[in-house]
Amino acid sequence: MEFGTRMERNHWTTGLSANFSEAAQFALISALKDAQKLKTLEIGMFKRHLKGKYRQRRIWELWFDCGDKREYRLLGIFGPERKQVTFLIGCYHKGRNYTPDDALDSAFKRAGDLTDGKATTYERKIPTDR
Amino acid sequence: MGRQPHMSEKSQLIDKLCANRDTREAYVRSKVSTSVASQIRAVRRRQDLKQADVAELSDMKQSRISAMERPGTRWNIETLVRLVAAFKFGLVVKIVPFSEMLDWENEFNQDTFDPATIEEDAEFIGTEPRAADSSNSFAITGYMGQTSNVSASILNNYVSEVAIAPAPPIKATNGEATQNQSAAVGG
Repeated sequence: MEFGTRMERNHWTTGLSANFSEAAQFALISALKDAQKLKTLEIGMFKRHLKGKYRQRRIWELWFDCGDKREYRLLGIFGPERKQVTFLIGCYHKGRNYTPDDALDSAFKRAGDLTDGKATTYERKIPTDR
Repeated sequence: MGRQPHMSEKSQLIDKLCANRDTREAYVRSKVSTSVASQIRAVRRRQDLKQADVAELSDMKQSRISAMERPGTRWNIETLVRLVAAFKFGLVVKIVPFSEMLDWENEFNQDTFDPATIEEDAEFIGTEPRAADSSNSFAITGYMGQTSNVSASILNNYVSEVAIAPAPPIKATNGEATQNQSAAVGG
């Protein structure tokens, strides 16, 4: 599931991965293709829950690289249904800087909006390439 | 005559892959890195090992094992060989068409991936599986498409798909060698 607008449906170059390079988008899709086959989605794969105020909304971050010396992040939450995850925003990270720099706060707000019913999610199909 | 213009995302991707070497490089790299990370995670769990255990077996740091289980992390073949040897698996590197690379990706499942270790590999050892010992063996499986247009640096650091697999059987040169080999293993 992804927080976003209907216009962005299934367009991986917009919305969630708009901040990602082409290589990062490929890496993300490959990782998600691999993950969706798993019977059990483990938090270990999603690296960690964020600390501080982000923890109260159970926001976690998925880490991945694509060889361009940036560490990419997908911020998300589990749910709304069992065995579902909702991606809130994609960003990359170098040093202490997130790009976009308001990525964490955006994720926090979006998670709150979902909880409060102010926003909805839509299901995103992972491209199969063939 | 060139390709007809397509509107679908998939067709756009194919067009870009055909036209652009950097795109192909990024694409192949994404497949390799995800595949290797997933295979390492799968076999570690299958052997009921913690990352720290694997680190000790392979003489690497736990943080390195953790990184190699994360898609996109850079590693080289030598590091992978060391890791696979610690797991007692084989490894094969193979250059293939894109279609075969995708077949591998689509068919791979971390939950069911279960290659035999050298002691369990009856075809290799030529007799019943034997108890674990200190032997290590390895081979590589990998795919790479469109190699004529892919930079040599990929070959040094990446293959498009890498599969952990039992080592190939040893071919005896004559009957005596086969007999001796069996006797040695059986004894």
